[in-house]
Amino acid sequence: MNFPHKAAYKWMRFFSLYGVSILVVLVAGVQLAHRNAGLNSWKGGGFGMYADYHSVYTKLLLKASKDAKGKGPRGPDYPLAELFSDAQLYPCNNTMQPVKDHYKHVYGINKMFIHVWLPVFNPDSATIHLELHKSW
Amino acid sequence: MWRKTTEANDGSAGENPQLLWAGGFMLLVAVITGCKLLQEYYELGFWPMAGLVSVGALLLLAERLIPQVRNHWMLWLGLSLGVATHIVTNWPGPANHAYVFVYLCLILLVTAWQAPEDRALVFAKNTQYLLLAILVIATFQRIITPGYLDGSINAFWLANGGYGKPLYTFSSGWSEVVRSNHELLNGYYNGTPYRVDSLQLEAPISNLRFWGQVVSIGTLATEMVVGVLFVWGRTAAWKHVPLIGLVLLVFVTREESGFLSLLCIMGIANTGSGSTAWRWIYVALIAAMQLLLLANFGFV
Repeated sequence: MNFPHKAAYKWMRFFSLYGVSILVVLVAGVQLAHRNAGLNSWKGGGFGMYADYHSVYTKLLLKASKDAKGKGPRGPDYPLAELFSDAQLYPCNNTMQPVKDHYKHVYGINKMFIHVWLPVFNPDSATIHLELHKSW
Repeated sequence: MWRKTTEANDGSAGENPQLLWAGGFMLLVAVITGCKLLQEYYELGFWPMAGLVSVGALLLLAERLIPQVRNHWMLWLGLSLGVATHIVTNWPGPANHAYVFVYLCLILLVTAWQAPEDRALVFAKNTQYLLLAILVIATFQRIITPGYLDGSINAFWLANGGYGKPLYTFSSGWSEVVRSNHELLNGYYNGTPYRVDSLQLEAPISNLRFWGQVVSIGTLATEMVVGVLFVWGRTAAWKHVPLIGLVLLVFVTREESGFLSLLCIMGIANTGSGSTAWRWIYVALIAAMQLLLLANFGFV
């Protein structure tokens, strides 16, 4: 490529040296914004592997409302795993709705909540417990 | 810097040894990763997998042996677009290693567009900044995570086997504790009725919090030192010592063969004429890790 203008050449030189690194920082910034909204730090381009508990240790519990109609929930079976893994990784409206729709379809429950529980490990006593993070 | 119109414009990324080796190994990582993912997805047996690897190897050889297509910028554009599309369409599922692969493809693409005399410099500088950016961001993520600095999270991984599998497999006691804790956690998360009370695990070592903090502080210090030295060292041969140290450390603690191969490719990018011995060390490391990946040891 030929750049007759000095300014254009300077910009291209700058981006050829720093462009990819700037992209890395921008992607990580987007990931951090989503992380603040609930995304697990392991995924999304923010290089947060081993910074936090893996999303498989995020527990989702379904509670039917007292006035709900239907057969009632049972333990999740295998086909739910994929729905759950998305919801575990990034608990938000977009990922919770498919889980609710599934329960509605399979069990006929019309009113329910999904509680998201996050793990907390105590290294002094070597115990792990779950803390309620949010409900949908 | 950018290719002048008077120069031969064959579209290839030139014949710098760093570029040739790095480009070749990027393709090797892509071929083996692709084969492994297909094997897992379709549950392929030995012979279909061997056939797939052979086809990949033939394509790789063709790319290496035909000068007109070797390290061509369109190759890196195609690979980066392909993997980036996978990341965007499956977001946030894909692992961070996929992002690193795209960034390295983009660096090879930018490098291929430079004038031949600038390619080695642009390639080396970009990989230095990439490694520094990754390590600074990783450090920041750890610092802002509650439970990281006080050692809780790393103590959990020590007790549950997230770290050091190649090390603790030599200690039957530790191995047994990790296996037992793993089973307890499996029951805690998947059993019915659901439990949210606390679960008692067994500590594999005494002073678990202390060792968790040691891992936390050690990780932060290692990442920052390696990142800074790799940029600060410019063309010095000694800068490869901390990077290879990091590669070996991560390998014995986390077996992330795919990611570590990409780190070695960044190392190759910084091996000029004065550090060819280091290039061979990276070559040996990548070859060993990719072979281990094919033998189902370590992660893509």
